[in-house]
Amino acid sequence: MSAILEVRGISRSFGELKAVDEVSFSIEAGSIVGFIGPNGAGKTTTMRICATLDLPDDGDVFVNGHSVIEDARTARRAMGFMPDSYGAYSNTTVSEYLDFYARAYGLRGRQRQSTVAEVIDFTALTASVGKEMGSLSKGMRQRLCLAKTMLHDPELFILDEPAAGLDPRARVELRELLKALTEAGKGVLISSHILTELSEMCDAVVVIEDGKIRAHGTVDDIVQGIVQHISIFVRTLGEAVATERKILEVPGVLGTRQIRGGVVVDFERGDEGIAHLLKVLVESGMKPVEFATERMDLEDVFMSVTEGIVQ
Amino acid sequence: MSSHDSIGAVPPKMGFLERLSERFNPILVKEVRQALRGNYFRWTFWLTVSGGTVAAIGHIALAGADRSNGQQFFMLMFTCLAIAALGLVPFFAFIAMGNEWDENTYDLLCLSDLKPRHIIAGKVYSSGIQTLLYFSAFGPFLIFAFLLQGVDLGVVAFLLLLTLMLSVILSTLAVMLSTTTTKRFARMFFQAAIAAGLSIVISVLISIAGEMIRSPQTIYEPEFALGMTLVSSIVIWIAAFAFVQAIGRLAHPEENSSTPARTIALIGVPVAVAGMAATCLSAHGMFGSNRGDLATIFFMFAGSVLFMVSIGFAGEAERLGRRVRMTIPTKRWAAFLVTPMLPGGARGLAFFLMTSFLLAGSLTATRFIFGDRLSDLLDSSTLGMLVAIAYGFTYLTLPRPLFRVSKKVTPAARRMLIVVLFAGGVFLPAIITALLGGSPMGAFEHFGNPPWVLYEIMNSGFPSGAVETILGFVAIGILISARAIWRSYSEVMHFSAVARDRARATSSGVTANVDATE
Repeated sequence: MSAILEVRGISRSFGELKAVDEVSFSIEAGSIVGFIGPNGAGKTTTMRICATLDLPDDGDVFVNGHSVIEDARTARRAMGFMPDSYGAYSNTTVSEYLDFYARAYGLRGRQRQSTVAEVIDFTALTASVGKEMGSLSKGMRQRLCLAKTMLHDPELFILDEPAAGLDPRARVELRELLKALTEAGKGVLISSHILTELSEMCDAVVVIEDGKIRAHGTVDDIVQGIVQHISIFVRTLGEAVATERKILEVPGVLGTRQIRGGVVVDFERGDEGIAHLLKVLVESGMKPVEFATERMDLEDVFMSVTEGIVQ
Repeated sequence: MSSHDSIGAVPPKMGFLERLSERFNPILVKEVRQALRGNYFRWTFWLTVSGGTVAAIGHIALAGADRSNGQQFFMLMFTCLAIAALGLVPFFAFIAMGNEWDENTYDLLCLSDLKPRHIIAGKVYSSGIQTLLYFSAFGPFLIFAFLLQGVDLGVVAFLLLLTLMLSVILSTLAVMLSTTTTKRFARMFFQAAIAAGLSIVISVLISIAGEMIRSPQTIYEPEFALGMTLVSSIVIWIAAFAFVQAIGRLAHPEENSSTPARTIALIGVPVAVAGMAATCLSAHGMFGSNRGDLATIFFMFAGSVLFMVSIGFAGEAERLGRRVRMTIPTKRWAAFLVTPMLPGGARGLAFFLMTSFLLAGSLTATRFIFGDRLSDLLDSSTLGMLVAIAYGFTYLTLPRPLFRVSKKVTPAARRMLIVVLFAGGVFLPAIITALLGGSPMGAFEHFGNPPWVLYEIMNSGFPSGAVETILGFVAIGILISARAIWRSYSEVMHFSAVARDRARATSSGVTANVDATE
């Protein structure tokens, strides 16, 4: 697969504040990448640079191979940006809004009409086409903005907090829309504070804090990078203390702690070792009833790689 | 959604208006839709038209229909039209542009295929359409005023044309002002200033209209045509400059927004020369009158405008943007010639020198053409121009050392420094002299005050010590800026060489590995 977005060492300062500091990452076609970080981490600035709305002091961004600095117009054609906040035109209906942007993207005649009809259908806005923008709910406005973003059929979608303020149903629907986009081969860069949601839909994540990339890759890759051991929860029919004592005799065990009537074992990586631990427990008559690897989720990753620095 | 070609829904057949709108600027279509759907335009339109109708009926009922009533009735209707076309339309053009920031819609707009010029043109066209709607509403009343007699058809046509032109120009200026800031507070300040400015324009136009209605023969005099042509040229030039400035402010920071503005400024030179030639012809007796002084005034005005626009150019960041570098001509001579037209503060100085010497050269040429009768006048004008160039160069150059104090000295701060230094140069010695007990009027008679020096040169020759002082100023200016100007040329020549290398590599089929961003 080819990189639809390539961010190469971009930096951006606002006075003394370095909002983005040599940030690099890439997104491949047909994948969703989550862009996460605390407030003020530099997410929006990075996304605005990717969207050609701001300029980096150093570095460059390539959208489908086109530099956002030297060839911003072509880069814009290949990309659709949905900002975290955007306004509504007064006295404008949903269909007029989409019709205007379709014209603004150079679509003419029947092609414009059919494109507008298609995105309305895709984003399930059919019931709202005659409504004025000001009367739409937050969820419907998010859909409308996504529909607008899709009008020129971009290869890359940059979505800044698209799920903010949406109710659970709208979030699920948004997730379905994004899945449909990636199935059509589009790349998506999405930022959100709702990490559980991102973990369900993202192929990879980029964690940013204090303007710097803290981690980049799939959640599993990041876990492997930041955690040098695995944790296994063991509960036996015997006493937890006795179980713990026995486990500590097994080679490869780095540490233990008792929790929920069982023992959490920090263990060196490697399936052989885990199998050996289980074998020891069974052979020593401990009668294990729970033996599960404790996986880090996106929230754990986020908490592990960030330090809570707010700019 | 892989392609818009694979579409299932069959679009409805397009109506006539829909098909017609295909040819128009999308911003215009949107703005007209919004205006027709919104309350503002509907209310103001109907209120203005209703007000005009009530006033017309009342006037006829009270005064009857004789010759002088035709004039009164026309003025009543024209006042309503002027308020709408020169007051409401430009004011709401300002608001409409400002709404793009206030309603947070601008980012999405500039991500589309619409270029800044489309956005600005769309706003101006939209104002034009609104003005035409007002014209169409007031048209029957104005025809009725003509039928009442006492109103000259030529004057009516002239005033309507003037109002239409002014409406478009004022709307352009309003849109330009609206692009200068995204801060709501600053725009509120501008709104008040615009409202005041438009009120003055409306009052002046109504006064002129009243005078013309009473003395219609004025507009048929040749000097009136000449004066109107000159004023129109200046006003249209200002509107064109405002238009490219507005486009520049909306453009991507890497875009070259300076060259279009410099081009319009340069076009001002032939406009000024044509104006000068026309006034000289007038002075030479072509129109049976002597207006040679107008030539000097015209040139001084052109010089002042050139200085003002050069403040903007001289304050620009020095380095060429990455996108601008790629547009530099490959030929050395072409790159050398276009250098003053490219962005950059030092290149702004080069532009000022080039343009002002073009003006001065034109003035000298005029002297030879119109020879004897204007020679004395133009002798002093040529000297005055040279002195004005010297002062302009000095005041544009002196703040340059301050530009390097910190990276925080933004282009806006640089321009402000030039203005502050100019004001300081004129007023500070005067204030100090006044504080030390000097005469208030005499306090402004010093070499830091170019208007006084120029006035003296025109009327009684160089004041004592003026030549040495002015040459000293120029020497300091050259010392400060020569290196920067040299570097600015070198930068352009360097990127021209890079472009040549790239072109050679491409033509020889070798994969170019020339970095234009170095």
